[in-house]
Amino acid sequence: MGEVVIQGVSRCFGRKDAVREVSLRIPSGCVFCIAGPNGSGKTTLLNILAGVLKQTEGRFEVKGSVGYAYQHPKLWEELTVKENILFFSNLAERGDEEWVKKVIEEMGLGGLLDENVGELSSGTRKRVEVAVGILSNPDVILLDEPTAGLDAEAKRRVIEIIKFFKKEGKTVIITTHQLEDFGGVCDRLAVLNEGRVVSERDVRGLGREELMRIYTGSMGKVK
Amino acid sequence: MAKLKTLIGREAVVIWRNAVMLLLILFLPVALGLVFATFKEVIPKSTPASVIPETPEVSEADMRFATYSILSHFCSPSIDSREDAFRKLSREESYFVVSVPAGMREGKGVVRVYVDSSLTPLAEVSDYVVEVLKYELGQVGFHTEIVVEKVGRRVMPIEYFAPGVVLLVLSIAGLLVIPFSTVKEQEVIPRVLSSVSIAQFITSKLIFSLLLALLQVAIFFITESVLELPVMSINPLSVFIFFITSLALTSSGLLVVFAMKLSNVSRHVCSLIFGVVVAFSGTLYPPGFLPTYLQQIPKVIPTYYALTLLRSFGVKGAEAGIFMDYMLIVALWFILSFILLYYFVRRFRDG
Repeated sequence: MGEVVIQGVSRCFGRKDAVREVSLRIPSGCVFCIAGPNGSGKTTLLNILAGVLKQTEGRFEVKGSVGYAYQHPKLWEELTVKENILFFSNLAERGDEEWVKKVIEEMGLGGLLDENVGELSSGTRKRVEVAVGILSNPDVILLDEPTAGLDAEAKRRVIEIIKFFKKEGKTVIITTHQLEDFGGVCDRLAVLNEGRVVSERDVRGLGREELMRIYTGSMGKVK
Repeated sequence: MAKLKTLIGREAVVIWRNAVMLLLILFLPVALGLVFATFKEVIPKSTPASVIPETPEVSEADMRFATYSILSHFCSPSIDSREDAFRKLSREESYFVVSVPAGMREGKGVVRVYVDSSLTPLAEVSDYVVEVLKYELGQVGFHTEIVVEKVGRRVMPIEYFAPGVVLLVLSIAGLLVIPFSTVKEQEVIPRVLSSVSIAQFITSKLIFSLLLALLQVAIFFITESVLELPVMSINPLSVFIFFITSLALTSSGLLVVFAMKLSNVSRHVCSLIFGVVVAFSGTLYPPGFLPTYLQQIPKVIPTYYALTLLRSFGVKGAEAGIFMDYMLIVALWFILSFILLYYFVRRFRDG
């Protein structure tokens, strides 16, 4: 469970190719980073894996269930954190009360349950978004730009959350244009540019500087 | 079923916390009930009327004289057979029937004006119709006797307009409340659509719209009961039309916002459609009282047929038989809008 195999997936919007013939094999339990500049097709690829978008070509297989945390939180702003969690956990196909309690605890949302989502800071909303995305206790967790727009403390919490997922044996696929945030957490890295995978390699144990060197090196080759 | 319950429950919580929306839902029916209770009288102009010969002996010259020299001065007459004329009267396609006696041009016989008592705005002012008719005949030197024959059950103005209020609350729910709240939810809808099927999503919206309308109608009925005024009868046919109209209006409202990709402009389009529905379906005013050139507009708006059916089944107790074409129009409207809505929601979901 948790393995993801992508074979020749493409997606176009009108005449624009957002994702072009992407093929990746993401092993179970891996923290897989997809890095690339804005507009490189990262979110489109994640949307395809989440089933939010349909690919125009190619196919992919996700062994197990998928949870998705969007870049811009998709939550009911007029409802409280608790009501959002209840709403989406009722819609979730699987998941149980114990898991939901664990998620609330790990995300540090225990004291915020009665707060209206619309009144939370962007970092806290992001945590609620991640919590909602994984309510079904999925095997594969998709995180779209989880650190974008967050301050240092909020970023640290996100990294802690990713470590928690890893400990739980989940496969985590992260898209980011801020690769430096994931030094020491990321197991494998794929660099995407103009919809294509320009490099893919093992980065287990590498720090932020090495990650950035690999990234800029990959982008430099493209140029 | 549990998912539907969750979706509907959330809709209720959001409405409950929106003070303006709540005010609209709870107090508008009361206000409308009070307004329509004060309806007294109107003088018809350009109203559609049927002209029939009293007996087979009536000459063509008498018919033409009555139609074009007299009636066309104050209404829009058409010469019909007796059967067609009374069919039109019961379908509100004609507001009165004038029966022409043989020898009218010689001042002989009695002119009979048939008015549907349940068509209250006109039944209430049928005396005016007779006065105008006498005046027009007097203008050409005739002093023919005129008799008003009222057919059908007499209803009070509030009874006549009650179906209009019902259509209005259905339109508020279907064309304003549900589409507006859906546009507001545009950010969350992709997540919801990844957890539930399109059919479940649409069904939750349609059911909630129906529940809102039922609540408003109940408040309206209670208001009128407190004022000791009759409203309309609840029977299988009127309930069926109520349900299908609610579904069709909500599907249409949602269809507009999804076709326009939940943009803010789509809300303005819905408001515009709401305005057209209110103005031209006969909710506030019988369409036949509109100027002649505007009387064609209701014919292309399905809510006009829905309202006629609501009034005919809920107030007049009419049989379904003479309204099969109207029922077909309303049913097709729902089916078509639902299919298109499904298509546009799927297009939205699949990007």
